[in-house]
Amino acid sequence: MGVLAGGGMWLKCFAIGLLMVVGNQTMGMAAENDCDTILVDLEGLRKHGPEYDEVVGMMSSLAGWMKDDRRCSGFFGGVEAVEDWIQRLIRYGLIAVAKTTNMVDPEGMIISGFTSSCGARAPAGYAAIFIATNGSFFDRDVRTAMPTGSRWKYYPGASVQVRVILILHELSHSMGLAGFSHDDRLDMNMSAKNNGVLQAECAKTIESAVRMNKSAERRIRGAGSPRRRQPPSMPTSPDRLMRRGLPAYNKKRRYRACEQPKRHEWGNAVRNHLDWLGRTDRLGPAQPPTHRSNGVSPIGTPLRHAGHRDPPL
Amino acid sequence: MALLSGTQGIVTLHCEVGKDGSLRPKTSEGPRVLADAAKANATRWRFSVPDSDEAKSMVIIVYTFEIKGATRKTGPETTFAFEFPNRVQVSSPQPYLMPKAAKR
Repeated sequence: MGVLAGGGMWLKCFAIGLLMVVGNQTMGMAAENDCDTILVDLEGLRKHGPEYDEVVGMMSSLAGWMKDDRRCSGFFGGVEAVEDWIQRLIRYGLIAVAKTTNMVDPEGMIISGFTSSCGARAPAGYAAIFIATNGSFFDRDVRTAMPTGSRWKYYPGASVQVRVILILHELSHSMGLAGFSHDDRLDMNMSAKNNGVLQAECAKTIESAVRMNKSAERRIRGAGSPRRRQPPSMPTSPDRLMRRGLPAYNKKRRYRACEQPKRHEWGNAVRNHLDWLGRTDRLGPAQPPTHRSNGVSPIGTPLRHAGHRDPPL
Repeated sequence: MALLSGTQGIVTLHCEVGKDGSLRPKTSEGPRVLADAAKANATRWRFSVPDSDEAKSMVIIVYTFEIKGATRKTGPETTFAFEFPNRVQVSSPQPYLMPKAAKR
């Protein structure tokens, strides 16, 4: 279990512990298996959808982020071991997402994820790791506490850092790693220590994940920007053409490969263009076009000859 | 992994016995997560091979994976029993739920 926040959490945690102890003692004698004691209720249990894809996507990327972190990969028994474990979890379909409700304290505590289906309202054999859709992986308002020195620091949910810590936490439980307490729900300090261990051992992995996700986010943001997506606007109507002036228009479309007209030649170019568009009535009688070929706008025609002068508009 | 998910069941392995007595699983029936575990286990076995052409014969091994007993705080204790001629019984209690909690 991860670190609980809030003043009353000690009491709540003690209550869970008490329930478990009582559960073990009573149920253990009466029944073969005490997994029937439901501690976590699940709603919308599934192995598909955008949330599931997000969890699996992050899990799949984890080995890549861990590749250059020798300390973290050593803690997990090698990158290959982690990669193999994650691939098997995915291949066997043992990862699931669901909304969780803690049965002991339905109001106060949110379970962001858990390992082992024993004690959860899930069909036998359904999944080994569950990530809560209402937990810190997805919800920004669900804060995760992590030790910093002698104090705890709270990180908002849905951040890359919190997501990586949550996945590492569940993987550590599922792989049964040494140096990681697998009985952390009865001991708050042990729980905090677990997060601290992951933070210390896998600092580079977390850093790498944050960096990679930031650059991916930037890339997506850039690609999705309306400025970049839209093609350059082309002022085709005479009004817009007049309003905007020619240089911008020329730069974008027509004069790119041609000689730029001089300032005093703009009027003629505009007139010729309007003539081509058949809208010369707005500017009075048309001047005889100086450069024209059939079906080609004179706008694109370079005005080359040296002695040429257009009458002023 | 199977234990964490609470998967239990029967896996039937069809294996080929090599000349050196090793087993090579060919086909399997049963839950996939358990079948892979059974295959991994079977490849560690060695049979004594008689001097005959039957050395390359096929054998069938039946694994029964069972979740049994009270959950444990620490790693589950797995028991492994072989019953002649070809039955294997694997029993283990399921590790209990390990939640990670946070506060809104």
